[in-house]
Amino acid sequence: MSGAGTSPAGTEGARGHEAGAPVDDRKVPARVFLAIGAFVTVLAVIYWSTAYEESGTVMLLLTAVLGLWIATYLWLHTRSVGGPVADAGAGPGTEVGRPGPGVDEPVPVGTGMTAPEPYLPHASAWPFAIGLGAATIANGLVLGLWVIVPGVALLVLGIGGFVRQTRRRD
Amino acid sequence: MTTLEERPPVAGEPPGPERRATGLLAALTTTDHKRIGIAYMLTAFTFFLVGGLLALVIRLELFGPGAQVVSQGRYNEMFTMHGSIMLFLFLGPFAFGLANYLVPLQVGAHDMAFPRLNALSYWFYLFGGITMLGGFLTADGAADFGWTGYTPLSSVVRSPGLGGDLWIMAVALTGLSGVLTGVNIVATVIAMRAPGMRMFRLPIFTWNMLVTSVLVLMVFPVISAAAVMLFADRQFGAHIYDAVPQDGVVGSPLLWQHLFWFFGHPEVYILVLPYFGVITEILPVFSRRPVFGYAGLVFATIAIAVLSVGVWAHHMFTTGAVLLPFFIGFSMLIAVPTGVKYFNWIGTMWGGSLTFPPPMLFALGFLFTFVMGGVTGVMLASAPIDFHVHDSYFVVAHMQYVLFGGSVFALFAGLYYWWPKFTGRVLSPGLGKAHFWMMFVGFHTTFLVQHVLGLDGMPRRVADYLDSDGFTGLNQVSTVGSFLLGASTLAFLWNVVQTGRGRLGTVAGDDPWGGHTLEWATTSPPPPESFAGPLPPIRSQRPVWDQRHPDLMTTGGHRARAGTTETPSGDGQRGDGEPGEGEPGGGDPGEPGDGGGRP
Repeated sequence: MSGAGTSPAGTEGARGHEAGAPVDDRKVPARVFLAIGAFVTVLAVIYWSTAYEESGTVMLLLTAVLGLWIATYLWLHTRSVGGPVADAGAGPGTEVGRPGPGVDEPVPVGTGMTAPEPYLPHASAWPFAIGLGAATIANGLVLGLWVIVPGVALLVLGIGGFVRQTRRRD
Repeated sequence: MTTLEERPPVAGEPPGPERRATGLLAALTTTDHKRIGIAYMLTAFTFFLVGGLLALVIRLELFGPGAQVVSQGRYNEMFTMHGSIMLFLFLGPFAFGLANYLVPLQVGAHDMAFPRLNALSYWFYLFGGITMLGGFLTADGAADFGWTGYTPLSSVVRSPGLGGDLWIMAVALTGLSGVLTGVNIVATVIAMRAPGMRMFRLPIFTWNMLVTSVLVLMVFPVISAAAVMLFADRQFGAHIYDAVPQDGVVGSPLLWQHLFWFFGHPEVYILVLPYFGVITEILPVFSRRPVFGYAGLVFATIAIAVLSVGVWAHHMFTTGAVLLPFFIGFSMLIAVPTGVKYFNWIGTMWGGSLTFPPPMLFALGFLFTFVMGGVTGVMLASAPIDFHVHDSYFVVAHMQYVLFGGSVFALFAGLYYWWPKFTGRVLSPGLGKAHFWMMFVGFHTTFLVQHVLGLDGMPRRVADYLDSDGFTGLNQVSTVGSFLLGASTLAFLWNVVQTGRGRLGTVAGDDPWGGHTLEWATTSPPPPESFAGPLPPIRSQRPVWDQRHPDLMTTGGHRARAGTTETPSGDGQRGDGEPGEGEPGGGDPGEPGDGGGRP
C-alpha cells in the first residue's frame, strides 16, 4: 500500500513530501480499496481453510468483492478520464485531485488558488417525504397493515419528485 | 455554473423552494451540508441525553440490593435501550454529523457530493431513531433483549412485544441511513477535493472518515439484512434463527451472532475511528507542531479497518462453536496499529509547545482513558481470560472505557474545538475545564470499580444482587460517580446556553486556535457556499498554517526539507520536527489565540 515503487507523479521531480516517495495521487483511492479487497480475500481463504464455517466465509468474500469492485471501478475511471470521478463541486476546467505545485516551487503567498465555482443544489422537500414514507411503511409492518398505505403513497410521491428534480438539473 | 442568486430565471424550470428559506421549511428542505451536519449533531446529542438518563436509572437501580426504581422487566428495557441508543443513534450519527460539516470544508468543497442523498440519510436516521424510542409508548414497553438482540431470546415466543419489532425496524432504517452517508462521504473525499488537495494532504479526520465510511459500507448491509431476517422470523413465520424444528425446518440461532458481530465489531471501529481523527486534528494544533507520522497514521487507520472484519467471533468465544486461534490472533493484532497511533500522538506532542484549553484537555483525557480500554481489550481477546469474565461487569467496564473513554471524550474535545467554527463563539474555557474534570473524575469513579465487580463475578444485565454477594459497596461508588458524570453534562449545557446568549465565551475570529486545515480558512460560521473567497494555496497538509506563517512553510508532512540545515535562528528554516528536534516552545510565534488576528 505504500506509494513506493509507483511511477512518479513527476510534477516536481523533488523528494516526495509525504511518505518518502512521490505518489501518483490519482491512483491512491483505487489502491486503498485494492489493499482492503486483497487483504480480506486472504482473510477469507485463511478463515475457510481453518474454520470451515460458512457464514463468516461468505461475509468475508462479499466484503472482499466490495473492495475489489470499487478498486476496479476507480482504476478504470482513472484510466479513461485521467483523473478521479468527475466532480460536481468544482467548476468547469478544474481537474479535481490534480497534484498541486511541487514542494520546492516558490509559493505565491497571499495569491491563493481560485476556489471552484460553487454549485449549490436546490432545497428539496423530497428527501423528507421519502424518509417519512419509508419510516411509515416500517412502522406499518409492525403496528398495522393499513398504516402502510399512506406510507407507500408518500414514498412514491417522494421518489417521483426526487427523480424529477434531479432531471431538472441541466 | 453559478450560485443560485445569480442564476437567471430559466423558462420551463419551476422556481422551486429557495435554498435560503427560513424557519421550519428551511429545516425540512435544506440540502446544505452544514445545516444537515448540525441537525445530525443536535439529534444525536438529544439521543445521548435520553440514553444518559436511562443509564442513571440503571445505576440507581443497582445502588443496593432489592428493587429501588424500576421492575426487573423495565430494567431490561432500560439497559437494552441505553445500549441501542448510544450505539445506533448517538455515537455513529454524531460522527456522521461532524463529517457532514467538516469533510467538505476540509477538502475544500462547497458541499457533499450528493446533497439531497445527504438529507435523505438524515431523515432515515431521525425517523429510525423515533421508531426505536416509540417502543416505550407501546403496551409491552420497548425492546428488552439487550442491544445485541440475541436469538432465540429475541424470537417472538420469548419477546412478544411490539417494542422488539420497532427496534428491528429502527436498526434497518438507521443501517440504511449509514450506508447512504458512507457512499456520500467516500464520493466526497475521492471526487470533491480542491486543486492541490492530494490524498496524502487530506486532514487525518477526513482520512479516518473515508476509512470509517468504507467500514460502514462493509457491515451496515449485514446488520440491516440480519434485522430484516429476524423480522421475518418474528412476523412472517420464517425459521432462519429458529433452534426448534418446526414443520420440519430448523434454523440456527448462532447465525444471528455471526451476522450481528460481523457488524458489531467493525461497528466499534466505526464508532472510534472518527474520534481518533478528531484527536489527530486537535493534538497538533495545541502542540504547535505538524502531526507526527502522517503516513503511519493513515496506514494504521486502514490496517485497523481491514483487521476489524476478521475478529468478530471474539465476542462468541463461550459459544464453543468458533475457531479460537484465528480470532485470538487477529484480535490481538489490532493492538499493533492502535499502538502506532498512540506512538504518533505522543510523537506529535513531544517537544511541542503545549497549551491546555478544553479541547486539548479532553484530548488528553481521551489518551489516558482509551489506553485502559485498549489494554482490557487485549486481555479479553485472550480466550482463557474471556471464558472467566464473559458477560460480567469486566466486559461492561471495558466497553465503557472504549466507547466513553475513546469516543465521548474525543467527541467533547471536537465540540470544544469546532464550536467556534459552528457558531462563531468560543465556549467558556473555565466552564469547559470544570466540565472536563467533573466528567473525568465521574467517569473513572463510575467504571474503574466495575472491573473489580466483574472479576468478583457480578454478571452484566442483572437488575439486582444479594447483600451476601458483596457487590454493594462498589456499586454505590459507581452510582455516585455516574451522577457526577451526569452532572458534568449539565456544565456543558450551561456553557452552551450562556455562550449562546453572549454572557460567557468570546467572539471567535476565523481561526481562534491557529488551526492547520481548510475549515479555518473560512468565516465562523461559514457562508452557505462554505468558502466565500479563494482557498489558500494547498501545498502541504497544513494549508491554513502555511498561509498565515509563510516564513514557517511546512514542507509537507514531518520530514526535514532536503538540504536545509538548522539555522541558529531556528524558525526560519526549521527541520519541521523529526522526533526530538521539535521546535522549542518559545520560538514559535503562533501562540494560541493570536492566529485569528493574522492576515
